Amino acid sequence: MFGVLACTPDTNGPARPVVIAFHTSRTADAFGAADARPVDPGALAELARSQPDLAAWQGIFAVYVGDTTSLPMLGHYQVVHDTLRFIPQFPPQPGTTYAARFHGAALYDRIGRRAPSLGRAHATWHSVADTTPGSTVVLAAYPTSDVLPQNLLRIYVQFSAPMSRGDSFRRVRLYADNDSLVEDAFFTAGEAVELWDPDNTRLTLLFDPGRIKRDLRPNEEAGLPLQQGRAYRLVIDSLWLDGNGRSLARGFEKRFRVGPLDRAIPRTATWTVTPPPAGTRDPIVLTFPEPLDRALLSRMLTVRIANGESVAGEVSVAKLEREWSFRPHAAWSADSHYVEVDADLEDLAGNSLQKLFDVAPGDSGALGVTTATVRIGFVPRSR
Amino acid sequence: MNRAKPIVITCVAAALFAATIAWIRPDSNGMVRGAPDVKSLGQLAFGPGNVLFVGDNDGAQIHAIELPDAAGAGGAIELTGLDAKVAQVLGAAPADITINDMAVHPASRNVYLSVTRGRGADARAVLLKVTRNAARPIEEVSLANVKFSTAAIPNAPTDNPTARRNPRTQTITDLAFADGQVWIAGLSNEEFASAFRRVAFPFAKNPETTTLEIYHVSHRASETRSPVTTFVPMRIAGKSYIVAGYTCTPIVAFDAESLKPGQHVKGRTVAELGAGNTPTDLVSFTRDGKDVILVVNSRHPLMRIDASDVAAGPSLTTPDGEGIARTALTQPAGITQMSDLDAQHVVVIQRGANGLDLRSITKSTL
Repeated sequence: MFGVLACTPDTNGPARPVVIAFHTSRTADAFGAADARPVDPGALAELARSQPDLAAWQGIFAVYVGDTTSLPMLGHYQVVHDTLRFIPQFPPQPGTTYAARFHGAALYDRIGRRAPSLGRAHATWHSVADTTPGSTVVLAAYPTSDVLPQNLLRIYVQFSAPMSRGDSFRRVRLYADNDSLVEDAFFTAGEAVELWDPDNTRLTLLFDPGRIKRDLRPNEEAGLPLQQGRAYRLVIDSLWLDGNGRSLARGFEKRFRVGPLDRAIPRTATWTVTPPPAGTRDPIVLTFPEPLDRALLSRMLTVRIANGESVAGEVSVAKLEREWSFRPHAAWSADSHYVEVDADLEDLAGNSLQKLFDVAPGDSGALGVTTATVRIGFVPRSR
Repeated sequence: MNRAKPIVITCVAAALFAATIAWIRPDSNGMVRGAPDVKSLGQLAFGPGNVLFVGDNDGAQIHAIELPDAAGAGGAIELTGLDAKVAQVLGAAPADITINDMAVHPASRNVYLSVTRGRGADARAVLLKVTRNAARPIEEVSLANVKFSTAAIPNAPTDNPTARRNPRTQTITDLAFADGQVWIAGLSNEEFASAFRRVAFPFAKNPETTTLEIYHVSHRASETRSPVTTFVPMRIAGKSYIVAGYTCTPIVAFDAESLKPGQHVKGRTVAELGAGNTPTDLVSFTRDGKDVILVVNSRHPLMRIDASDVAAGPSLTTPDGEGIARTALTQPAGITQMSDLDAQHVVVIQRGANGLDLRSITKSTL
């Protein structure tokens, strides 16, 4: 008789206790999921049929960050035979403790049945932090020159691999020659804005335009971030985590001196043009009397033939951003070509071919070309 | 029997086909049902008809998403430890969470938050809402099956076939809906330009954004093309204005009617704030019968200015002028975000000793 009773599903006899197990293997399906088992399959099936909302599921089985006093985590639930599985919305974060809690009584309450002595179950798991040493480094900071204008507008920091976001504010520091920190040098909108490229490999540090632009209170109260004649260090902290959560392999420092203000419009008439030989793939080279913006040099100059069709090839920037060259994919024909320069091309102080960074009224030197582009014609030379 | 079968199948197939066509045909708002291709969730702004506009910087696009939410009476909403609780719900630590922006649903008065979970390659965008349900204050707003439409923001002013993957991005610093348009303020990671754009909503099939060249003039009259960090469209004395705060910190007012594409529009600088500070939020509301604008600053205290002064006040042209009157509010301190909540309250995110708190503040005290 006892044997027969023990076989019926809705038994009050001793049942195996529910145990919670986490899926802790990073490569497993449902990494970070938690299973509560064994639970009577009939009860689980009825529970699923009752279509619990998220709050109802969480009352029965939930996973928490830290401990069960936290708010329960978002996720969804699956019933797999005798297992109730919670699958978190997001994968576990390294270096985090998770706790899971199962309430047998709440389950049976919901389906209106008498609970066997399943009681409660509890489990915790710590997702280990990744201590693999990192290999990401700063490849370069532009401008490359170590003498920069006092009204320098931008610095680009190029990394060898994608970086994490939101940490630049404390990982990038600018020191003056007496090792004093230059505070509030860069624009961050209250540490809310970081200017990354789509791959998170290049960060633009924008000097606070309010301090650089003439006639504004920040400029008058705090002055330009850089002072002419002084030396500075831009320091990148190696504790900065890359996109995989690992520190940089090493830090980075750029030392530079500050020269006079640059309030001159870049003018293409001052550039030298070295046409390539026809029939070769030698580059056409443009050189400038002052360095120009590294990023804009990469995209604001296009080589075209007379009918406007662009020529395919590779752009290179060299000589401290004072040289731009273009190597075509196919050999040059002897026809007329031109380099089309976007008039928004800027120098290191944000002065474009069209106008100075800031224009005071009556400043005749403040205005440049009025067209959207400037053409520099050339003909590949016959040999 | 065998004869009937093909007809049945054809009918079913036709019905399915018709249903599919109906399913993907945009509705009158230009929206289709499905899951928008969200790469990131940044700036938020509600428009009419429960539509939430979201800036997606990584995708270089704006999503318009219809999010019905049961009407509520409003009233104060509080959640201490906001960042800690958002982190708990998302299964992470507070340091792994960034709360990007906040907006209040016009019907339910729930507080919507755009959040990024994670900082590296695993970063994920999440839309959450904070409700007045003390037992379950934070819920996810699923975007898996919604009515939506998306407008791309054109990138890179020149078409350069020699360039590899374009490293240029636009960061949307603020957006707002007014007069049938979505207004978008942005900042490039390359050239220094004032990309203030406007796109008509409902979004057309290939929506056209018009770029507006806006300049502001300092008190000695030099001008720059300067990126806008925050703005608010508002009507003052029957006229439409855009009131904007800049990277260079002046507060500038533009007559919205004068903002036409291809035109070089000069705004009136009505106030200059000081160094080491960026205005990060501008919120307009009615306080004791008067329209005011609250300026949330990155470092300076909260400031209140009168809307009527913005419309009627003189443009800053004298070297010593500060501009229109403003009242600095030393309390509450540490405000990082603010939104209009209901007739009596604004809701704010406030930085405290232990992290961020969501709090409601009575308008009459501001």
